[in-house]
Amino acid sequence: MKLMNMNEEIDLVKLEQATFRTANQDGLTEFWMGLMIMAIGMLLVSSSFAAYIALIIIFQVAVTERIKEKYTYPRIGRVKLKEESEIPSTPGWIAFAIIAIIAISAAFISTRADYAVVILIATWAPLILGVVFLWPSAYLVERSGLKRYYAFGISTLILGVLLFLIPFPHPADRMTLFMLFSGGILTLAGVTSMLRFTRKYPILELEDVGVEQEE
Amino acid sequence: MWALSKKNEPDADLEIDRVIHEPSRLKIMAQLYVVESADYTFLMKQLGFTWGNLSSHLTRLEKEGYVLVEKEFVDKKPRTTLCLTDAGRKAFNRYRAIMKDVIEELPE
Repeated sequence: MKLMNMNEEIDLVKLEQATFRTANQDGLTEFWMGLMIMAIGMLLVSSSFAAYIALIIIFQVAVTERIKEKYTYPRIGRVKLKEESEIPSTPGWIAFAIIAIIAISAAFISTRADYAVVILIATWAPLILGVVFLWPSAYLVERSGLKRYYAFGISTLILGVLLFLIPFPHPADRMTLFMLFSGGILTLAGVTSMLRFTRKYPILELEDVGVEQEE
Repeated sequence: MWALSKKNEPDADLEIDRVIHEPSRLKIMAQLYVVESADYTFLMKQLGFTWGNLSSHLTRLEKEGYVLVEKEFVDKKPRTTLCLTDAGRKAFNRYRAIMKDVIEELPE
C-alpha cells in the first residue's frame, strides 16, 4: 500500500523489506544456516555430529544475541522485526529442522533398511533437497526484496541435479557433498557479509548517537 | 468532500491527522508500523535524521499517545526502545484510509 503526502511517497512493503535488509546485513543468519547445513551433511559421515547439531540449535539464539550486542547493535542500532516476537522459530529454522529429521532418518534407515532402499534414498536426496532449498531462497527474496537470493536456490538446485547425475562409488557421498557445498556457500556468504558490514559501518561513538545515550 | 461537512467545516471523522501528516513524523510512524520495536540509533540511521530532529518529533508523537518510549539500563548502559502504541497503529491505519480516499477522489 502506498501513502501519499504531498511530495512524500512511502511504500510500506518496500519499507519492511528495507528494514529486513538492514537488520540482517551482518551476515549472521547466512552464517548459522550454512553451519547447520554442513553439520547435517557431516552427520552422514559420523553420528557424533548429532551432538554438534544439538549444540547449534540450543546455543544459536544466545550466541547470536551476544555477537549482535558486540558487533551489530553498536553499528546500526537495534530493531525487532514483527515476526521475531510472534513466531518462536523462523520459517528457515523450521525448514532446517525438517531437513535434520530427513537426514537423521536417512542415517537411521541406512543402518537398518535394505541396501537397495538406501541407495535409492541416497541417489535422490540431493535432487529433492535442491528443490526444497528453493523455498528458503524464495522466502528471503520476499522478505528482503533482493532477487539475488534466488541465486542460492538455483545454485543448490543445479548442484542437486549434478550430484544426482554423476555416479559415485558410495551413494551417501552425494548427500554429504551436497550439504557441504551448499552449507559452505552460505557460510562463506555470511562471513563475507560480516566483513563488509564491519567495514561499512563503524561503531557509533556516544556523541554520534546524541544526548540520549548520555542520560 | 472527504474532509469537510455540509456546513463546509472539517468533519471530525474524516479529518486528516495533522500530527501524522507532517512528513518527518509520517516517516517515523511508517517505520515503527512495520517493526515490533526499534531504538534511537536504528531510526536515526534508517531515516537519516539527526538525534535532535528525531527526538523532537518523537516527543510530539509520545505526547499524542502514538509512540511508547521505554527507557532502561542494560549492563549500566542506557537503552531506549520505541514502538507504536495501539492508539498509534489505529491512528496510522485511519490516516492511510483517509489518504487513500483523498487520492482516489482526485479528478483525473
